[in-house]
Amino acid sequence: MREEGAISRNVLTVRELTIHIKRLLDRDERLMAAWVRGEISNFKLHTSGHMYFTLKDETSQLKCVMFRSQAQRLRFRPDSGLQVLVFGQITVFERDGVYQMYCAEMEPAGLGTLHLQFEQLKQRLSDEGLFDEELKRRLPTLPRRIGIVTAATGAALRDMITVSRRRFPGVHILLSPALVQGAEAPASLIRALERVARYPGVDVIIMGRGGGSLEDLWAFNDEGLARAIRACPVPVVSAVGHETDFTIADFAADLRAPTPSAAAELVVPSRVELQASVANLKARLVTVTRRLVERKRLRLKALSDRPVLQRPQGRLLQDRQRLDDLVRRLGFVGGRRVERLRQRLATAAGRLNALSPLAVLSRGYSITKGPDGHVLKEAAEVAVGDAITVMLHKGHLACRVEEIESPEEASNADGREA
Amino acid sequence: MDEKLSFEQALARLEQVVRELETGDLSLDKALALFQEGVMLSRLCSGQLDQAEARIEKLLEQNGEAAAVPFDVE
Repeated sequence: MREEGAISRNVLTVRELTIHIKRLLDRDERLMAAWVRGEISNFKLHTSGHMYFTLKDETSQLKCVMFRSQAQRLRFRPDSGLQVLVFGQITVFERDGVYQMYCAEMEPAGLGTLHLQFEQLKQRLSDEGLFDEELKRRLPTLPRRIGIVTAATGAALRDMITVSRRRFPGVHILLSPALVQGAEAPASLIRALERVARYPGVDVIIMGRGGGSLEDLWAFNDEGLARAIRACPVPVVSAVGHETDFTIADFAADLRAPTPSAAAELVVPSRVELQASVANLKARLVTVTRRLVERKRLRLKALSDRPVLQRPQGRLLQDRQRLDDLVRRLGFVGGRRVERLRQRLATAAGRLNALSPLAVLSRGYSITKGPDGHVLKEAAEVAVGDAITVMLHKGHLACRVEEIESPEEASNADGREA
Repeated sequence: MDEKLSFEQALARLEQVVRELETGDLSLDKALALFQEGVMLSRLCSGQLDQAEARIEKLLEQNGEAAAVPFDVE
């Protein structure tokens, strides 16, 4: 049934409309190949390898897709929050009825691609722990042989050799030549590193090259090279470009030298300095030993100065004399008759008796004891009326004190008389 | 004494010997033994420092074998 009076309506199916819009867009040159700047959001990496994300700015959004074949070629990893420039075609995705951008290329905005690639690799390896301080090894004090991985021609090698010879005239250097720039360089560097690390006597390796552009130095930002450095059995010193150039190899190495010449300074010891420290140790060795021996000598002298040790022979002779004397006396006693011995004994006993106070009494002296029985030496020790005892040679007398003559008076009287 | 001591080991041992002599109350026998060892160590160290001529070589891969050949710097 037709509706009365109405303008005839041209009804389209959704599909027809969508195709119409798509044709409009596809015809537009501006949309066929456009560069668009924006921030990635809702980034999704599908298992198929395709990338889906939205490009946005303050006010608008653009749906984007990047298929696997293009995504694989990217040298950095897109992620939400990243400012990028994308190149591609804007067209309609019919199923959803939305327009979206099919990206062929992508570059980081602001930072260059290389820079971003560098930052991302650095972050990833750092998160993995490849740059941890605990992994860094100490350089040998005096390397037997120094491996150098660099180009066989070039100022870097010449500089390193010059510095090395100056610091240590007898230095042993083993060059392991490698390509230091270009696409082949990372693999070449890895091979040269592994080769020289296996060579007997190589205690430390310098790997590097002279200065150049960011692209020239790029080989040293290789993930495989960073891992080869960490896997190297001997310490590796990196020396890439100038002081301001930092590479992934620098972070992976056991030590980063700002330049190749500086690497030689760090790796090759100064012979003069080493000689000085050996000489210093030797001098200390001699001094301390001499002092120690001298201390022992003094202690020995202090001991030997004691009389006992000073004339040990004199003492011995004295002892022998006494011994002889004793032996002689023993012989004397032994050879006497008992009678003579008895006589000597009687004489001795008589002498002893003569010393006895009791013997003194026999000559008329007497001993006076106080009431408590102790021997009186002064008149003042008793009082008038005290009972005292006087011991005579034979028997004793019990007496009573009637009068005491004080010793002071006696001495005064003496004084007056004098 | 081990002849294969590296310079580093010899130097470290020499330092230890000197410290031991400086700090320890040692018997004369022990002190003289250490002194003797120290003299030998210092001789070993000095000897390794006295290598006269530089040797610059280049590593070449020949039939899968790495070989060092003299390298002309100039």
